[in-house]
Amino acid sequence: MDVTQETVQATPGHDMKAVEGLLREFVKALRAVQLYLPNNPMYENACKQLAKAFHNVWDQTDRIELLVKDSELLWEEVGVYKQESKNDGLAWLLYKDGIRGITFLPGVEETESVAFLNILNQVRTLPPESADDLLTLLWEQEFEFIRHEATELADADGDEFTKEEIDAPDSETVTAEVQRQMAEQPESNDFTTIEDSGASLLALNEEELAYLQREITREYEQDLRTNVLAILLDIFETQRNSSVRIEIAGILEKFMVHLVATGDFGAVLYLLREVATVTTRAQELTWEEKQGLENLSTKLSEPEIFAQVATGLDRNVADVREEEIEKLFSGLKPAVFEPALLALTQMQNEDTKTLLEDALIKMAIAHKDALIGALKSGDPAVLQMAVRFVKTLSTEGSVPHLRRLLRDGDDATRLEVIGALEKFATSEALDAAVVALDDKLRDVRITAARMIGQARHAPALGIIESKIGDDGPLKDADLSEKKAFFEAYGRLAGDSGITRLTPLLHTKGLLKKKVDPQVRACAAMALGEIGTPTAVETLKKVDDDKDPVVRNAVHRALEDSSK
Amino acid sequence: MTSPSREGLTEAVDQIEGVYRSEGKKFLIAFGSALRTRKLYPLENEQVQKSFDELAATARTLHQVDPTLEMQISEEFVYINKTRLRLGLEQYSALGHVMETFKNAGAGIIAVDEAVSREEWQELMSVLVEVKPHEDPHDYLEELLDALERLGVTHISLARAAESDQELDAEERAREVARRTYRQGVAVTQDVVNSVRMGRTANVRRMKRAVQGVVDQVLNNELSLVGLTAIRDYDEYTFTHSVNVCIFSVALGKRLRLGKRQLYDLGIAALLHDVGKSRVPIEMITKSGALTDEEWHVMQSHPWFGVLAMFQIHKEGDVPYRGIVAAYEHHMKVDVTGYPRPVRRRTPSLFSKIVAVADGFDAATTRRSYQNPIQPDDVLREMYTNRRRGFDPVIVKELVNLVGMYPVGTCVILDTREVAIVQGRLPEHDSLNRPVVRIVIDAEGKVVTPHPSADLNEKTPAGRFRRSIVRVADPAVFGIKPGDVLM
Repeated sequence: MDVTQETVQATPGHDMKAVEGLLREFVKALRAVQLYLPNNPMYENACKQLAKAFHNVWDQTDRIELLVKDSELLWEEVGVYKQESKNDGLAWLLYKDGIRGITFLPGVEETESVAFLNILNQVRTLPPESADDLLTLLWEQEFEFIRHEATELADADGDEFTKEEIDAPDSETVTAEVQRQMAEQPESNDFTTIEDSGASLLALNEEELAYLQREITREYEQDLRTNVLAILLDIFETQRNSSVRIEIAGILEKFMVHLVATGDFGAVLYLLREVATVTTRAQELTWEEKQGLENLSTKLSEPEIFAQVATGLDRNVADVREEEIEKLFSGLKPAVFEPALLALTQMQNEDTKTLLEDALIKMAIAHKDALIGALKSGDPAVLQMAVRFVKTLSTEGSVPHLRRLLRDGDDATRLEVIGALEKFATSEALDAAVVALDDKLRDVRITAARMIGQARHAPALGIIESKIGDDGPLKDADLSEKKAFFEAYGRLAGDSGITRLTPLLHTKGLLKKKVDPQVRACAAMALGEIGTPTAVETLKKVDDDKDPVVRNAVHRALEDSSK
Repeated sequence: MTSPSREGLTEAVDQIEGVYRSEGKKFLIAFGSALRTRKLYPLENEQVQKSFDELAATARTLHQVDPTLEMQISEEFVYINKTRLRLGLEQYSALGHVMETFKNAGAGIIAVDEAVSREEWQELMSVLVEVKPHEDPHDYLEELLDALERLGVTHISLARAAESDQELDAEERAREVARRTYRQGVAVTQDVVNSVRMGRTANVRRMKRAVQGVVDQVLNNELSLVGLTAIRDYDEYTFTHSVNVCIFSVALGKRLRLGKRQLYDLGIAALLHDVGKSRVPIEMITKSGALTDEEWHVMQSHPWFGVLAMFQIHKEGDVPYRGIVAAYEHHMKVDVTGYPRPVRRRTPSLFSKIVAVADGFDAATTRRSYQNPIQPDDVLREMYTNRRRGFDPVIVKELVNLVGMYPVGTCVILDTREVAIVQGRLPEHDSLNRPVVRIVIDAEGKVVTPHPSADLNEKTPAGRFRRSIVRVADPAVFGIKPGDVLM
């Protein structure tokens, strides 16, 4: 917005420059309000400068009355602000909604000027069909130091009323009629205390005043939305006309979406509760009418809608009771399973989280396909949660998907998957876990080795055997990993493994290669797992080994083998 | 029983006023044009000369009706020989310039007699184009009059607006604002009802503005607006009734000390209380005669029709919940024995009860063609004493306090033998039986126009009331339509 100055004569006694300066600061402040948040230094500074500019003007005058034209503002008939483009600028912003005059009074700079700026900014972004404009918003503000005049053209709205002429009788007839009526007995008004001096106001007594106050409080404390829902449901129940019921069902659906968007979950839950009642109580419901009501639960299960519900209940500002949340979740449809899993991963409120989890577990049990479907999600968070569910429920038919995830999933997912496979411990799961022996994650490898060893899954022997050795793939592994693999080998190989393990344990002799004590210890543990007399003999030969790690391992192995 | 001469005279007066309005507008435009062109160009310029031709011609037309043409300009209104012009957008550009000139000159009236010459018009404009804001408009006007005299202008004179005229202006201004507010309300209600019938959303912003206007008017000058509730447009009853209920409800709310925002909420609810009638067949709404049982059953559905209608005409975020509650509950009665009968337990809200009282009063005081007339004071008596009607007694009490014993529109005979129509009660007075009235027929039995206001609280120097109400009368006996009197 450019501000240019009209070349006019200043009115004697006033400083036009101060007003021009004020409007320049006003425009800057309006821009700042548009671009920045209130806590931004630019915003704060612009507001301060505006207040200062107002103070400069108050040194000269005690009111600023501006005439608003479509592209300029006039003060005492002098142009003090002009915008170059007709349809953009402060003047047009005021003019287009009907403002023709605006007055600022001292005190405006305290708080009202900033509030005014915010309203102007709000008006800028209102859609054409908005219920508000500058005039309606200003009306609601009740500014004390800002007054405005809006255009009121005589023919602007509505038709003039037409008056008819008075069709009175002639004056003699009128006079006679008046005399006749005056002579008749006057009527009494028995609801007032009448004296010739005039009936006085019917004063409200204390009780009536208190009653009114209670009623005003009740009016403004009522839950309007729930009240309106009750009305709609009443109409649904009492009117048997199908088109009316279907119309109401449609209204309830849209209304519910609005309630979710505004976070009024108390009302949403009220609605669902009452709909359940209506479905059983309302007479002669047709299939279509029933469907209309059931659509409400279906609507809640739409991903976008449910996401809002979950977020809202997580914050639970409405303080909805647990049993109501439980009811809401229990009404969800399988289509919402994946979005609900995602919501679960994001929830902060532990109580609500538990309720949702319980509901989803029940859903997963009843609708296995929904859980299996979630194992194909592209969202890692959803995948991991789904895998946890699979682990908890040991869901049939999930192993092939878990195998795929072991191959393709991210680190966190693979970790979850191997945990799930470990719990399954079926041969299918063990087959799937073999892949994990080569996983890049240590923990995955360890879990895989342990579960294979525990299960004595023979098909994995070859792979495990290839890993053990002094300078094999486990060379750089830590003790825990080495132990897991060696123990697994011991369980899988049996006596035939002694030949491989003995050279790793017995290193005496000049030509014998020095073996890492950890490897020797692990070899001892493996022999302990084998536990045959030959294995025990092999262990006893080194039960006094100089290396304490080896010696401890041998002793433990001998103990375990004797159990 | 109408005297032919009276009828003819009335018709003639109407015709004359019509001429003043149509030709007056032309005169005003011509005056503004002459002033503007004279300011821009020299006298001999063709455009200037043409504008003077037009000005002289329009003045001559008006002089055919009255040898003295008088134009009176106040802040917002223009009168030609005491007839107010109804101005639209195209006249405002002429008006603004002329008004500014007159204001700077300190003048409120210009009188032109039929002997005016073209030269005098030219001299007048030459003087007026030089008018600038002056420290003392009073002295300035004197200077201008001297200048005109020196230039030989004797058939045109300027004068200040008389003080009593300024008061009349203020009163007329207030009435005009009230009329405008009322008209806006009716137009908005019409728009809402038509939106329902046509299945489209309504202009919510316009509705908001209209109700905000009603609230402002009730807070600032209740009397003018409440007076208009006596308008009974039988063809457009639904619309005027909705506006009347809105006005009464907001005025009642003000008595109950509701805040401005609360009054707005109440106003919206009241304006929309009968929107359900838009779903009732028009033939049933406009039927002259009693409804059949079946028709009555349909009509009794309008409260819940209104609930559905409000969802139809509003977007989700704009649905007026209080309006829905009031529409649904306004015929329920305080003990919920009315209609519709709710399934879920319900206690009518305060706003619903206020709307019910306002609705009951306005509906009962509207004369339908098939009904015997019911005087407003009788209606009040019935509402106050008969609890089976189901109105909240405290709110009815406040209605009596609002409208007085003689509510707006009541035809009364005064002890001065005058016949008057009650305009309303001034809030600052405690008496219920001393409203402000408009005198329609004087003590000699003659119609008085315009109908002057009289405050029945006024006393003579001796301390006696100047006027008192003797009794209520049927306005039809005197050929009076109360709404037209108060318009």
